[in-house]
Amino acid sequence: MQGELIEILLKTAVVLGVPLGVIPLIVHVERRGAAFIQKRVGPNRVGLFGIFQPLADVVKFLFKEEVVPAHVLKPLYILAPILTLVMAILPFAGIPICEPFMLGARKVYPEIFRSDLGVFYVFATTALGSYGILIAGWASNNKYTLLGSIRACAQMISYELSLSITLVALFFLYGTVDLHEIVRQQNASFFGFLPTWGVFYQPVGCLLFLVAIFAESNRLPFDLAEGESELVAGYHLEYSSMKFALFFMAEYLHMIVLSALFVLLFFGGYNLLPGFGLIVDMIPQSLPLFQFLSLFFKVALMIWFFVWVRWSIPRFRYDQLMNLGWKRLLPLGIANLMVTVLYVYWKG
Amino acid sequence: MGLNEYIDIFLAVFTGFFSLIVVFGRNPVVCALSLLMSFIGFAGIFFQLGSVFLTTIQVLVYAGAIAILFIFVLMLINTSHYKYSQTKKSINPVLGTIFTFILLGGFTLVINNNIDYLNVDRLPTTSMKVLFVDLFNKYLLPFELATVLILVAIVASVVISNKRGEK
Repeated sequence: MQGELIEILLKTAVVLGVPLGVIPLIVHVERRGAAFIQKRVGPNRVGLFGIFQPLADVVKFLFKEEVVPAHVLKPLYILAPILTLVMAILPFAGIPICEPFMLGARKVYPEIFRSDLGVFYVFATTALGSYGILIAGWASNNKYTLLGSIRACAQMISYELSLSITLVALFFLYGTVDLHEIVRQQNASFFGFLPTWGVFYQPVGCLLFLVAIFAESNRLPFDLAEGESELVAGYHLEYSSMKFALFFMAEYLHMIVLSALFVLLFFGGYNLLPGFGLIVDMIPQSLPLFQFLSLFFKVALMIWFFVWVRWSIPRFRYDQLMNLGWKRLLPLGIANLMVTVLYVYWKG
Repeated sequence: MGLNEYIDIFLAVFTGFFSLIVVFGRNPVVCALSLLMSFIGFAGIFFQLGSVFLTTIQVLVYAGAIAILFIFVLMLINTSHYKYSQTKKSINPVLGTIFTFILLGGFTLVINNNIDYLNVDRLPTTSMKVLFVDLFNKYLLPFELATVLILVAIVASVVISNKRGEK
């Protein structure tokens, strides 16, 4: 019992500490990346390459005056940022960061919440992510925030459909919902060099999933919820200092968890990157560590991709967004599902 | 009492409290949010009963999809038109209370008489495979009937919304 408790606490520390710890780094990469793409310098004054800029930002967030406008519904107004952050953290409990490994006589599963419904859990908790935004927009008692949150919410519901339909096709293909098993099946290779990643089995599904996670995490080109030109700042307009920072962190956490899910499903997950195998052959005990590093590296690339797309593609109009979601992606997803199901059926 | 009993009691109180707010709350949006909380409470109760699958589906479908649509619609319509008034004297609350207790009594009778059947051990195991093999063999007819019901509901909703559009 005590050993189990320590195990859960340690896992929680790793699975929580790493994403929360890298958020400042991601913010920095995003700002420097933006500057790089726009041919600017970006924040480079605080520390080497401006690496301490996020630290300065955090200090600013903590010490700024916290303004609670008089016209808000106070209990819900205060609850909303907390709820947003908690709902963004919850899905991390279902993300496996390495293979189950033996520690002494005990088999240790890397995810905090171990059940054979791993992906469903991640999905269920991600679906709750929109509540924080919805409550924030409504409790702020402001037309702009309400519009922003309603936009965000409608967008998340619409794109969740294509996300889940892609996932169903994957379940049929892999024949399991267990993330460990899905990752294990991606460990082989075609023709000796091309890994059997999900992206090669399901190119259409991969594309749909990619578009849907951009929409789910409310990032450009889908950040209609914030739409500065028409809604000032959207749902977090009335929030200041640390309360705003919580929304900000939740957005990045969403990005990380959806990227991790994307990598696990389509890009071989925690399977070792080329080169790591040599080290693991020498020291077999280091396998979990290097698997974690492989996943970390792939997720980092995904985050860079988020930044890259953010500064390359302009924002959609809202009707374009809805048309894309319901009239293009969803039928494409259903067609993809049908083809996959028929393929699995004929293959036997 | 162990930790599990405390969690059970907490979940029961939590769910009951928020269910009461759903009925008696003044602000429709707060009522809808309480509905969400009670759904989550139910999910917790399912988890305590040992069915992870039901928990996940409860959160995914009820909390993730149904409650959000309620809240969404309530935010869009102007709720100030539908103010809850207590000034009108009416027999409805009294009748409602009486019928609630009659219904509660009926439920208690049914549950008490079938307590062996409703035992937690009879719940399907958490393994999805076992659950769905049962669903598609033993309970195939009820399952198919439920899908027909859903189909009818979908067609009905399309027909109703079409009529609105023509006017």
